[in-house]
Amino acid sequence: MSDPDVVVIGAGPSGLAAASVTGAAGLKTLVLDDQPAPGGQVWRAAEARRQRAFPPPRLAYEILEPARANATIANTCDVIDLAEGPSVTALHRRTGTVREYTPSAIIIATGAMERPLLIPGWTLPGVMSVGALQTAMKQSSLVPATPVALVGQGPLLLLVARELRKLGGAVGIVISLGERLPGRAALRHLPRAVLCDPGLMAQGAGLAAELAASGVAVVRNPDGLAIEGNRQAERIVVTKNGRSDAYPAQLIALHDGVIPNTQLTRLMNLDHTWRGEDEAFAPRIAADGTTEHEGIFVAGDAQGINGAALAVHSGRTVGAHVAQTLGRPAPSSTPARQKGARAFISALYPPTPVTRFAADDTVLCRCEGVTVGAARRAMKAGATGPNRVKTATRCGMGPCQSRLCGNALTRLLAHELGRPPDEIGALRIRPPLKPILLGDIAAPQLAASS
Amino acid sequence: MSLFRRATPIGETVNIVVDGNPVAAQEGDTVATVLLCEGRLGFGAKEGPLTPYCLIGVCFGCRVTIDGRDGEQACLIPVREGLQVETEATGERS
Repeated sequence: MSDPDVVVIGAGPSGLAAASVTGAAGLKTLVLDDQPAPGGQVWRAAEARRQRAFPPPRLAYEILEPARANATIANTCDVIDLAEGPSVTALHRRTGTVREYTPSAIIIATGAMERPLLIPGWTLPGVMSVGALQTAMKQSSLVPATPVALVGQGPLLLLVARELRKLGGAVGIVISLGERLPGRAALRHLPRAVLCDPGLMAQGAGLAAELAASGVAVVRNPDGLAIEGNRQAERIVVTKNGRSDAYPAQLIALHDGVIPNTQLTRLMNLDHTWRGEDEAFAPRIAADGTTEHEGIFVAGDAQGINGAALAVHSGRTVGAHVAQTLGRPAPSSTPARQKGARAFISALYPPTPVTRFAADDTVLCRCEGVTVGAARRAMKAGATGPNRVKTATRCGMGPCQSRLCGNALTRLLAHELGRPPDEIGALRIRPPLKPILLGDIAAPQLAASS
Repeated sequence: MSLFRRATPIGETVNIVVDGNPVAAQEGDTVATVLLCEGRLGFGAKEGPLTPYCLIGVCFGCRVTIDGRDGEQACLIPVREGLQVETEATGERS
């Protein structure tokens, strides 16, 4: 395809919604996505799952089909750089080719990722995130063959507990980080949540009631957690009121809510601010997606966590604004629906402090095997920010480039140094965004010069 | 023994090779889900130190060698007939 007018990065709800609007407005639109098929995480493998048990909701197809019709969607494609201009460089893995695009507009729609939950032993094989369990289910219809321990908190954990049971997977135990009933902080937001988003609230209450009725053992509000095993997970030890109980489990799934994926927005040095309710940085973005860089826009959960339905709305709004900016008529979008239930959900499941369960020998950076204790020693030696801890310990320097540990490192620093995360800041992100081979970069230059 | 089983088949058989052994995957699988289904949780030298954590391309815990290319994220690569996967060559820190 010749150079597109618009490149959308990410084929989840907001990216697909934005692409169908810009495409329908007559702009040549290309969607780049690193996953095997469009849908993002929430609608993963939507097209393949159409005929399977538990397909995604109808909304997924209502967004995906027009995006297919109006835009080109390139999957299995890693963005490796993004720059002012704007320009984006991507590795198309199917063909092994690197291409640089210089469109008029780039829409960053990289969505959300799970907030890591640091527990001693969380790097043992057999431990994964609750989202990963759901991914295995959606992608390949895999369910645990052994009773799984679900550990953590949040709507996704309850949803996955239901989906696992429906597909015949066994849930052995749920270790819930909070109490059974909402505390005062959450109750304060309950009336507005029920009023603004009764459907979502009813769904959540239904999930909680189902879990209670399922007979699965639930342990709540532990004082301490540790995963133990020789070479792989064998048990999880729960300490509560001075007593420790070991629950055998070879498969243990962790979850503590989701945070915006800010890898690209931080690469672009956009102005980020700490969102207390997400315990994460998010770029400071206008509702229409405009950033301080001309031609670069941000849509959906990459702006801050609001969920799939509002991500669709955000994608449409940003897509329409981009089309209008480029001189094409586009349907103007209605103002965003109130984020009704978000405050309640955030108060009900307050993000777990990094130090709640982690000990000094708990791994902080999985790629480089850097422990919480090593980061603390660096701080004691004078490292006052994440980039200094990185220099001293290699934390965040591995192949994931701090995607997984970056948020925890900022929070650990804020906790240890008693300073607000906005002052602590985040690790710098540099290209290439994914490890690539020298030959990948050299090939187009060689081809051009021959 | 695998910690995962397939609740329902998802597609036609796709034959791939993992560490020299033939493995029957299914159309729609990623390399990572095949490895999970095969009971492979730890990759890299001596079954470690890598293990998949997120399965969405964030954690890099599922890096393997695919068709001779080192450091590929198994969760992002769909299976195709004849695909060669090596799990032991990756993950050693140099």
